[in-house]
Amino acid sequence: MTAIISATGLAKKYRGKQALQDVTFNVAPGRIVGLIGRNGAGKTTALKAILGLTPYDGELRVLGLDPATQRDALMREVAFIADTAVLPKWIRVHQALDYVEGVHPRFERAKAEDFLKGTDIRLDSRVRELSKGMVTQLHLALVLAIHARLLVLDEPTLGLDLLSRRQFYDTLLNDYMDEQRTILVTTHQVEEVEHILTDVLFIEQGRLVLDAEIDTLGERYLQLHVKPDCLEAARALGPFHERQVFGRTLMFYENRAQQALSALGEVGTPSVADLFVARMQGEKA
Amino acid sequence: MKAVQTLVRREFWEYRSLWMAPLVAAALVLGVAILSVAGATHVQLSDGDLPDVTSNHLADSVQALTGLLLLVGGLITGSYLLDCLYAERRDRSILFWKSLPVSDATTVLVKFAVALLIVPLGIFALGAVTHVLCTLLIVVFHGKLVVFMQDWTVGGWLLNEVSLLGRLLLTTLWYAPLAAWLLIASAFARRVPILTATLPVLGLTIAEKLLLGTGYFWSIFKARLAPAPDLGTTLADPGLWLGLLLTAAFLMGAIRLRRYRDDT
Repeated sequence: MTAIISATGLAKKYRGKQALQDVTFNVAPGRIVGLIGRNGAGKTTALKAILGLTPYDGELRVLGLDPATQRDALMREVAFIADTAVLPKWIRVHQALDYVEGVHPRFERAKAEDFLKGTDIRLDSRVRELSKGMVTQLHLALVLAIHARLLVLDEPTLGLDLLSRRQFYDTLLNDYMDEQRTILVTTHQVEEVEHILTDVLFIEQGRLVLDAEIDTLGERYLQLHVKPDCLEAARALGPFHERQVFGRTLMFYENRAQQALSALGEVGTPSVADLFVARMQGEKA
Repeated sequence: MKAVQTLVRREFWEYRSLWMAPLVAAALVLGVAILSVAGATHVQLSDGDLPDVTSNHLADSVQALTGLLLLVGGLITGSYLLDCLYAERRDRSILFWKSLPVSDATTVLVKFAVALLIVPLGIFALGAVTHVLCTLLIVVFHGKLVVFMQDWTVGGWLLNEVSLLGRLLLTTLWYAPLAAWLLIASAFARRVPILTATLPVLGLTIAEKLLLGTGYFWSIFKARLAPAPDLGTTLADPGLWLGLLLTAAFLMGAIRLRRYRDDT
């Protein structure tokens, strides 16, 4: 299968700072990929390059197209939410529906209207009259009714309360996702998306530091709750990160056999969030 | 085509003054016309004589109508052009517009056409309708066409409208470079688009004065601000055609700015 996104040596200098550096990865069809990094790590820059919103160096193909020169064709196949607060304040809900219907050949209006029926959003409201959560719902209704092959979401739930965030991702999974579709989502709140992802990309200071399928994380990474008397032995096996949790020491290993560790304590698969923290702090150390 | 229609409608949703201001202006003129005709009728009834005053008032109000509508049209399209590519960056809604399959060239050209073609044609149509209504008013109030209207013919009226339309289109061509300049200023501005539009003009004028001691730029600019001379003179003026070249350059600049500018 051809890759939905293929980046090779992607780089971007932004105001003298290297915002992206030698980023190489592929995204296969039907995946839900999380691009995870701290604020300012280069997530948004990477997305902007993928969406043709900013010039870049290196090789980049999205759905076989070059985002820098074929942006107009690309936007027929790609939908994105840059963040939720970008719907124009003056527009009325029915106008937004009219507009997307008018300019997008792949927009299914009935689907968007169905979605809106399940919310408190009235068709004659202006966006400025809606709550933040409602604006997100509206944006989601518009975007999910577009038959796009790739959906790109940049911090889609920023500033939303817990309930709206949960609803957002549930809708995404239940009403949108199928094997023909691919989602790329950036966030710095890992724990919020990790249950929906199939793949993770960690980015730090413009570099890709991890590119893995969630299912293979367990083969590659282990966490060990170390027995108090085994600390030295555990350290000798070369964890890339250790931290204290409730007075116990937690160590993280890459490519270590489970048998070697199990004598020293309780072995498990780290969560993406734990792995992210471990990776980031490990990098600094 | 459906997409272009949608884009045009969008502009009128966002900038309601584009259609409301001309309507209000026309209603105002019509109101004044009604008052003046009614007043004149009153005079006529008491004097029992057909006064000239009616036709004068009517002619005046038609003049005023054209003038007022043109003034309103100029103001609303000017402020529209200056705001339209700036506002979408300020509120970041450009990220929404850009998530849909509409090219930057289409977006910019539609906005330009709204200001320079659609609104002027709308104002022209509105002026024609108001004109007809004013004429009808006279008939209603007097039961017959008054002195002023005696040599009125359909042919003459149409000819008049056609020449007005020609004049209007010439005016839009004449002002096209200014309009495109406002658009590129709107796409370029970081904070206050009106300063982005005016400061370079002032700067160039002052720089020319200081460095060369001349004032060519300012006099060219001033000549362009003034209404276009008559049709023949304007079409023969190379300035008109140079201006249109400049218009194309400004529009391409605005398209490029919208395409590659990244300050959201």
